[in-house]
Amino acid sequence: MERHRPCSTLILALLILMIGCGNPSANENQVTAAPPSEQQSNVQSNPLRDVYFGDTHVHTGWSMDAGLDGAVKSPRDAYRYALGEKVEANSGIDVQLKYAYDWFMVTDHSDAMGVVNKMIEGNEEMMAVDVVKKWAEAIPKGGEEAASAKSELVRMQANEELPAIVMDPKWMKTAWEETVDAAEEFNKPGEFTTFIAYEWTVNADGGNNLHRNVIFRDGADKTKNVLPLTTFETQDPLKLWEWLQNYENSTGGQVLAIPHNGNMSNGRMFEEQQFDGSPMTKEWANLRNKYERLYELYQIKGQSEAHPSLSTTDEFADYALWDRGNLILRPKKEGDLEYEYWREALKSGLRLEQEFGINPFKYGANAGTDTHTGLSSTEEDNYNGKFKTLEPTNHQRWNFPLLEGVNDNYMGWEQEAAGFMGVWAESNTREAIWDAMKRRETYASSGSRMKVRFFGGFDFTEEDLNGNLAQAGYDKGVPMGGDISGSGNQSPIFMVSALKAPNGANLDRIQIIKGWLDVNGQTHEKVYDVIWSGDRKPDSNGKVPPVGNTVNLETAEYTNTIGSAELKAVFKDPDFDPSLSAVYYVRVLEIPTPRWTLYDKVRFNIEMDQNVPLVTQERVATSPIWYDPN
Amino acid sequence: MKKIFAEPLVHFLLLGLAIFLLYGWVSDDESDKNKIIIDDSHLAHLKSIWELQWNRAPTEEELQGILEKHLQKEVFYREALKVNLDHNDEVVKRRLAQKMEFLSDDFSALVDAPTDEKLLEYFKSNQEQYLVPYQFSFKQIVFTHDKHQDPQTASQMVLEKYGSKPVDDMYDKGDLLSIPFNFENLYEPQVEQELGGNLAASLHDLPLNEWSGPVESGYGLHLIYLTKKQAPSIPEFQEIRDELVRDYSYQAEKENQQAIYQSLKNNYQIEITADLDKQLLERLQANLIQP
Repeated sequence: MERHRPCSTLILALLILMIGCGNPSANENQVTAAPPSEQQSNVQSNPLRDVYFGDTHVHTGWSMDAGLDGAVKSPRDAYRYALGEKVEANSGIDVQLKYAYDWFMVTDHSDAMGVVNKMIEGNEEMMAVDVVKKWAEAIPKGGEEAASAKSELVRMQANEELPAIVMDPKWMKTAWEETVDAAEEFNKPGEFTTFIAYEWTVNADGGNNLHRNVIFRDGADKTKNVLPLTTFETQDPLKLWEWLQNYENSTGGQVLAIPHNGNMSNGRMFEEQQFDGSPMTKEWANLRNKYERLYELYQIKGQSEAHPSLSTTDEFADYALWDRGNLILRPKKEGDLEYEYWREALKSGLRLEQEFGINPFKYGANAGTDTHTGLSSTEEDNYNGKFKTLEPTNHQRWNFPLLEGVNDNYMGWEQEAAGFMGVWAESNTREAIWDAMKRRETYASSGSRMKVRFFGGFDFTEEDLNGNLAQAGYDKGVPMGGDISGSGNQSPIFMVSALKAPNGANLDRIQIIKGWLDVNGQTHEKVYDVIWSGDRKPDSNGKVPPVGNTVNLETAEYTNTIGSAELKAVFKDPDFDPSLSAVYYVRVLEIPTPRWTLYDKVRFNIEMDQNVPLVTQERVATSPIWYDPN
Repeated sequence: MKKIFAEPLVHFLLLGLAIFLLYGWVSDDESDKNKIIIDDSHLAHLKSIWELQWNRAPTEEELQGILEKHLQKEVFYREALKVNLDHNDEVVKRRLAQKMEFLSDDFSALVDAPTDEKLLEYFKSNQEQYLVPYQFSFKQIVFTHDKHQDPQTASQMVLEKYGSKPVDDMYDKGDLLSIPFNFENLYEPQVEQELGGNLAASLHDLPLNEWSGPVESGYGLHLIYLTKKQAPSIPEFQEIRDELVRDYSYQAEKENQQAIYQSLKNNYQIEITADLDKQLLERLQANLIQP
């Protein structure tokens, strides 16, 4: 006889605990936080929008792979750390962010959630059932009475005679509900926004990264009515989108998904077929376009923005490359790279749009850390590493294996202290920030809090640039993430500005990167240096020479004696053809600054191998503006 | 904390015993080991997980899939148990240890519920943590190192020349930089986040309703016209009650978990028999028993 019933057994155990505690008064005085998601009446709203920074990708000890490595931090610890509170790290030291986040979320892997059932308080209903009440009275008395009550419980359970109330699944509290509760507790409209979220973690063919972070606009009332989809049930992204659609249809809520680490998907993230190998369909393209609005460009496991072998004229594509294989370091086949990077996907999206009437790869820019410690940090001089074993208590973490494959490892030093996302929203509320993600008014940052504006239209002027730029931008054009369409033979004009982070490094340059589709269906790209600091002159290929480097390798210091505090410009595409569809995004580079490895080297007074990079150039990439000739 | 624990700990142990007994009961005799029966409650459980995910009942085809997945898991699970693959498995150990932590957190919520009385006491002893910070309104112009060899002197010259003219005359006398001229009702941490440097703290000492400075931010040197400076205050209990519940429960969970762990640990005789330096061994041993 197979009689093991996971839910009822645990309920029973917890029932015994509850009535055994003999402290019913505790429940009457229970104070629970009111659901705060709808309390936003008194939050100020700025129609010209402010930028809010946060992380969309955080694992705590509740994710099994994080737990495997010894992380014990919970979602509540993660929120406290994000708020700027001092928190004890997994390895025992105290850690604290220098710059708190404006908004935050925990995205634990769905596959490890919902296994642990937890009993909720509020046993009045149970006590209304006579036999349960009898047990409740008997058990605290101890001795024979208690023993007999307990054996009666066990007998009834065995004979399936337990009162229905005890078996009701509503008494179960899953780890998912606990995750939802933690998010709700910390959500404070106008001050600090949290999102209910989880990660759907597909390792196709045993290691090809097709992971997606699923982010809800809604509060506990809607999200608690569902259980996250796990990859145990399906690995097909189409099924995930159908699940998202079903969630929206049945609850009236809203949800989106953000894929990440195409760089470790061995050619599968942007493959031009369905997961099962069948051809793409219009419906498939529709669902992908509807639910996947952003793509994660920067994180600890490298960048998925652009690859130097595909973007051969981009001298800054050679940054944070994690391109030696998939998650288990199985090497790539020839041609895989083409289907892994955002810039290629933006370009091929233009081609697919012609075929299907909708662009399945219409991705805006996102970044997140993917920390597995619960401690989201991108601060190079205050970096906590991806796993517990890579927290700064390990002074030799640069030389510690991070991901191990058969013939190759990714080592600690290869971690990038990146990234997070800037979101332009009317206010710091769940609704406003989620809506901004949906319309892609976002930018990916490798770790700099610079403020970047980007508008596209047809009649911006120098006066707009130097006056109220945002007002002109919204009045006469569209912001990052938007669309512009043909206006006769007129060339679009873009307005872009970047202000350095208040305590951060100066800026090197602003670039606009263009991708387009020619009449033969071929795609192309070009990187334009739009404006830069100092009086550097472009070379014969139009490339502006490097800004210089002030980083002191002995002291891990730099100075803002090079670069600019602010750069802004109006840009008119010099190679514009009004009949061709195109896509434009902005990339802004800071001047070189010390990488976390250099801070480690100096503060721990250790030696590192020659090949370990000690200097980095932080960067921001905005969501694109798409040009449609029709 | 100890007092609260003396009694409830017994119950926590009782819970452990209950789980032990129940699991003992459900693992039936040998002959059942190769039977897998899916009864009503099993089916209901599997279906309810599906229904929670999809908000509808599964079709027959989907039900077939659910059962097949369930069986596959169950068969492998049982085979793994037969050959003791669960023994000394790091993931299994962590998972079970984590379940114990979850149980102790539930337990904490039951025995240490945040009553008004407890919250008030907690508020009183942690008042500083809940202070409403300084709040400021001000106008500013900035002189950056980009544009000036000596921004200090440049700003002082502007202050002398326009300091006593109408307030808004100052608007275009600094550098063109995309920082607002007007800042309204910002709390100190917000000023820090917006402007960096030491500017937020410098505002404490600036006079009201006149141009003053320069003071330094992360961008350069600023002249400031401060119109509001509200000193930190203690918030009303009701205003921050949710926050107090959150913080109190968090701390109680941590303390309860620690107390339960320590008490359970006392049931074990812990010895390090590894070959270690004698003094090191003594220190480690002593700390393990009495941390």
